[in-house]
Amino acid sequence: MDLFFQQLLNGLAVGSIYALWAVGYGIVYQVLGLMHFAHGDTIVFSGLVAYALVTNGVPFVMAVAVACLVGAGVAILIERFAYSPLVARKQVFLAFVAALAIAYIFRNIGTAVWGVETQVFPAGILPDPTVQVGEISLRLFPLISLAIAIGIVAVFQLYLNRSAGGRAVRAVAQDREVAGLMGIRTGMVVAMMYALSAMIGVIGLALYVGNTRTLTVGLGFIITLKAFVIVVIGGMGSIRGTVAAAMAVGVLEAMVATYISARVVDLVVFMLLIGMLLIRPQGLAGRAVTLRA
Amino acid sequence: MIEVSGLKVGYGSTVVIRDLDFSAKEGSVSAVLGPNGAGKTTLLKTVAGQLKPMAGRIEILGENVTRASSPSMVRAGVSLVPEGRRVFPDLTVLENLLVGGHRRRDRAALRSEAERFLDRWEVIGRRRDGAAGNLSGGEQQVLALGRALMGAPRILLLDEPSLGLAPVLIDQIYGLIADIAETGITILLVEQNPAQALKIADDVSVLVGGQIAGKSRAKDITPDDVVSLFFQGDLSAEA
Repeated sequence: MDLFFQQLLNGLAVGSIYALWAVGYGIVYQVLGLMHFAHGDTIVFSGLVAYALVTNGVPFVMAVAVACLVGAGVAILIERFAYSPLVARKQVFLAFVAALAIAYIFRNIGTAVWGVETQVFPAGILPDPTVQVGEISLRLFPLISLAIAIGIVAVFQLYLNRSAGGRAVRAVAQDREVAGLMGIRTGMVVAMMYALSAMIGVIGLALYVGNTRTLTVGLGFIITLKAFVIVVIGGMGSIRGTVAAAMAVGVLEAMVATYISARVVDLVVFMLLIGMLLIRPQGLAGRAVTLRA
Repeated sequence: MIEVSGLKVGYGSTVVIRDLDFSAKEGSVSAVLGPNGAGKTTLLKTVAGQLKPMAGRIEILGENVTRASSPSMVRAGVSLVPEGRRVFPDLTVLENLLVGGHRRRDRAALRSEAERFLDRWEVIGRRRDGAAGNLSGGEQQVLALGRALMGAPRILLLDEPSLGLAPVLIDQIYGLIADIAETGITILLVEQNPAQALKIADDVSVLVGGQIAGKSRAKDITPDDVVSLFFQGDLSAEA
């Protein structure tokens, strides 16, 4: 039973990191109608910048802050100079191809600079307290990670629901042309969402690194894939659905790895995806392709 | 108030409006009537900053706004109610109104104006927290007009407000437009339906094939005169 609770906690912590990756992914889909397949690779590129800073003596938290800015800048540049011009010409398929190309470009830069091997962050970059429960020692980091992720998503949801800026974002997601008629600077809103998506994703990566201390270039593709699967399972356009799906996938992975085999984790997750597509194609909480909190 | 001269607008190589001169006086209701494909919506979109003209000049209150963007036009006091209402379906009724005043800094005044509008229009007011996409066509048109008003416009551009509505609803919508006109807001209305437009308009222009086919004071022209111009497309006609 102790193992079950520890794995439940681990699963929720991993799910909360997935939620941070997927919420950002879902948002950028909403505001530009485009699958941002470079999402994970730009996040990992930013993470590798943080790794370079940390290994040169910069404190981890400061390195993450710089990585957030790098991620935001890269995301804005991609949106402004690759996606938006193609989407404006109604060439969404070409924009999708561009997204794949950009993902490979960042993966290649990462490989060229840092190599394909796993980068290990120095020990003690973040505190890793434990608590004694009976005879077992529980790590508190998963709980802290869960709290941080839930806090970020909650603040973001409050922003979308309760602020004029959030209303503008939802208006742009639903009808960009008419949002412009309301005086909303739609280009700025889209750029801001790309930046925010990258920053939230980098924080998710920081929690991942804080837990594992490792980072590989190949993680970028996994982030994109996990985010895509979770957004589809949760329902396009629903933040609550995305978070629920992220938690469910995190816990499912932990339980399958513990009680069946780590080798079949992806098999189970992708079977869940196919089952969801067949039974409930709109996802857990999805309805259409509009942004709701 | 609105001065349009030598306007030429199109999409790609297709010219929709050519050499168009048009003006609307401050506080007036000006109707631009024309058949499908005459260029009415293109004219409104150009004045609202959504389309950039190939040639010509647009002035609002003496200021050259020919190449201004939509947000700039909103700041200049121009609001467009688009064809087909196009409310934000997953925002609530109240949120739609608040988004209409996005550029305003007086948030408290905006909210109280939105509340007053919902009190005045009970049919949508009682569903203020419901999704706007669940309203009927007529209710959405009321909401779209209210949303435009929340931007505190000096000029309101209306694109076929009667389109797709039942006759009884058209009367109500035109009643609301007449109320808005009473407040002194300049209204530029494009319509296919001359009977309704002539009831509230001060001046009428007939647009055929992207050019003005005739202009008149509304009280001096009948719906039949307008419809005959639709078909004649006689550019020399001054009804």
